[in-house]
Amino acid sequence: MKPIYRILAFIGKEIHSILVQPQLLLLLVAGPFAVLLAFGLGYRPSGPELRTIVVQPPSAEQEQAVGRYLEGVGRPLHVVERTSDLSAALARLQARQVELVVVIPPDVRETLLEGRNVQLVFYHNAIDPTRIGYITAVVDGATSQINRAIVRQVVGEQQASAADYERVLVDLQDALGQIRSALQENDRPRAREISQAVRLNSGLVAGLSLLGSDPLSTEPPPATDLAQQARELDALLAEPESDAAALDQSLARMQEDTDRMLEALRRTRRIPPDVFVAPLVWDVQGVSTYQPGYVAYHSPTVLALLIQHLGITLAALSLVDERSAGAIELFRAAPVRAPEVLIGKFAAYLLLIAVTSAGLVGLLTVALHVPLLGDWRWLIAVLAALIAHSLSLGFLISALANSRSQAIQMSMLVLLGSIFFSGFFVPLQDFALPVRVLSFSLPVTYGIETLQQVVLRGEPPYLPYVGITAIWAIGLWIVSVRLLRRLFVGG
Amino acid sequence: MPQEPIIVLDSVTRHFGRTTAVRNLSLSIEAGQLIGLVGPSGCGKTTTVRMLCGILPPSEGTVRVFGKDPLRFDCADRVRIGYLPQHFLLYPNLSVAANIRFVAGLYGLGLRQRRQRIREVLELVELWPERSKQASELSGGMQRRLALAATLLHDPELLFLDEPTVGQDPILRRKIWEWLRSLERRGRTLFVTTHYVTDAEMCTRVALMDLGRLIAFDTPERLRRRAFGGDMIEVIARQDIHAFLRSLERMREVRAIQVRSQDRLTAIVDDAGKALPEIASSLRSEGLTPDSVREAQPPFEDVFERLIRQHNRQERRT
Repeated sequence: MKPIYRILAFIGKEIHSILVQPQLLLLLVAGPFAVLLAFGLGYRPSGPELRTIVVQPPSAEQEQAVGRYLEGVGRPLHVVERTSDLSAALARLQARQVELVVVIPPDVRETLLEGRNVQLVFYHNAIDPTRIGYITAVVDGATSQINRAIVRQVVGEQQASAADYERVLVDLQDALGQIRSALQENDRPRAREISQAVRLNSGLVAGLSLLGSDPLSTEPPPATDLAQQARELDALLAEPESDAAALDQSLARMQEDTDRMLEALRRTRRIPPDVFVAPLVWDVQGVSTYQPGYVAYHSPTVLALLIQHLGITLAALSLVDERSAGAIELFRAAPVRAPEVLIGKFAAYLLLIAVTSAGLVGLLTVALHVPLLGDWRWLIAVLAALIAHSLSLGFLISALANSRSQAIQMSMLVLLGSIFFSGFFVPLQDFALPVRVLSFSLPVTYGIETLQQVVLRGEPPYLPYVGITAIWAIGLWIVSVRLLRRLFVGG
Repeated sequence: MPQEPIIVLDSVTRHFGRTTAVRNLSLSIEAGQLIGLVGPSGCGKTTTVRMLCGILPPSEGTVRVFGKDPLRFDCADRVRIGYLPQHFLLYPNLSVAANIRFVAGLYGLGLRQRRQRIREVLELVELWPERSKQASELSGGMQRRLALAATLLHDPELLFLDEPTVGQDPILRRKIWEWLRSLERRGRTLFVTTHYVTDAEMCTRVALMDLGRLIAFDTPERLRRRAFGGDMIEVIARQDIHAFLRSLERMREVRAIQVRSQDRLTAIVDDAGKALPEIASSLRSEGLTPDSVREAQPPFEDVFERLIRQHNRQERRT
């Protein structure tokens, strides 16, 4: 019974110590709430706007058009000025008044007509690799958008002119029918006369054979040369002794090719220019039951980090405070054992953090509308493992640190490590193996994964993670007890 | 049958780096006494107490409390001792009652017993009306009394009290000593350090320490006699003081005489109780009428100063 009284003494003392400090209580409870709320309400995942100056040669029509296209790209590219003064634009870039300067080269039309790409140069003044990556992605997206717009316009114009070709092909079909009728009536001169017109028209539509091709097929399109066929037909008609079967075969082949080209042309005209510009579009469909937004997705991560930090700081300072106040000396003379001290403190902090965690989960569901899809009993198990692991790590820090400032520094290092190595910002698979070992010594790494599974996927947590967290908690706790025992022996 | 000593220190030395806090200290204390460990600041009193409580191991020698090495005390042994540290080690942000409740839990006091004992000890140290106050709001003297209450709470049989009266006004100091005497009467053993040498008179036996060494260990009376070579009889006379001096020099009972001032002499005798009436009668028979003849109680500052001087002289000789 007496060990229970001693443990209860520590539980009561720790809870009482916190309850009598309103400021600490406020920090403990309202602090994480405020952080989570600020994150939920303030997190806007779209990238920042890039203020852009377009530099173009004065009054050149094609270059002006490219400038207008750039203006039409829209967010995050925001064209604030169009100028012909490159040095003034670069000066503003240096002064960080704008984020981008785009230079449109002169002679756009000539360059294109020479069959070369027109190179737009985008200047930036960033040094952050992530920011540079963002700018590159924006520039790539903007350039693609402009290219598509240009191609869309050209295709539209081409489709409009395709109506003329359609008429030629219809005339051609009509003429072939007339030749066939003239031959049936044995009127070779008339057939020959019409064939002359066919020769002319077939030359006009010779290039349209490409329209029948299928870009997704590996088979080459069938060879179609109406002009050659028209010449051959004309030659056959010119010979009085020519075989009727050969004439019929030639006419049939031309008829067939003309039909095919007409069909392809009509089909092509029916396709909107947007489809030509981007034949393939995408649509991503998730198979999980819930597709969270950015805030909902990151909320369990922030929750895990807050709980870890709370656990580590509370535990890390507890033994250091006892040592600096000299209370350890009192414990050394009293009938209290190191495990009883740590069990008492552990239970008190577990209770306090559990209450705070319950409040945070409530805030997530009520204020930030994050659904709790999984079983709440799994949530309790995951949170308990996370809190236990964090507290044990905090006790280890507390037993190792010789002063309050050392304990705070160590806690901050763990927090910093957690931000970098827990998968919070950078995916775990991006780290080399030794660093990943560090990742998996942090409570938050397991906490993020298991909380996301329970809260957002509605699945039971990955049990090996819960088990490893519990093993970490017990292992670190045992090491802390051994270190505390050494403090109790003193010397 | 001789009583087993409750505390035994045998040739105990404790170093802190190159500094020696306690040198070759040997002491044996029987149960039921109020022992005063007296000496100037930094003489090794606190280090001795911490070794006796099992907080510090000795560098050399052996320490035995209840016949065991205090470093190997189990919980049952620790419940038998009470330790009042030199500094306030309770929690300033907790109330008086919360601090005491915590200590009660630490010593495994049951809930019913706890309530009664808390009231008893807080009333004893006159802090019951202040029980709801935060410890940080108490004066230094009150904090000391709170710590004392925490030490007495589980009613230990052996108490180590490191400077219990420091920071207290003279009235409270006397009160605290009265409490300690009452504990002694109830059979408790108290090992009390103090740098107020006048407190030594309140103890059953006094251990005098200086520079980590034990200078003397005896009852206050015997220490006084040892310091001055016997009992002291003070003669005050406004008449011819030289006539008194000559008369006293002739007396067999008188072993030595000190002229304290123009009208004051001190005679050292073996037993003041016996010698006082004889000296008074001899003076009167020689026609000398002193203003006062009485047994003198020299202050303990003088006693300790003399004992330290004597010890140093002896050490130099050896």
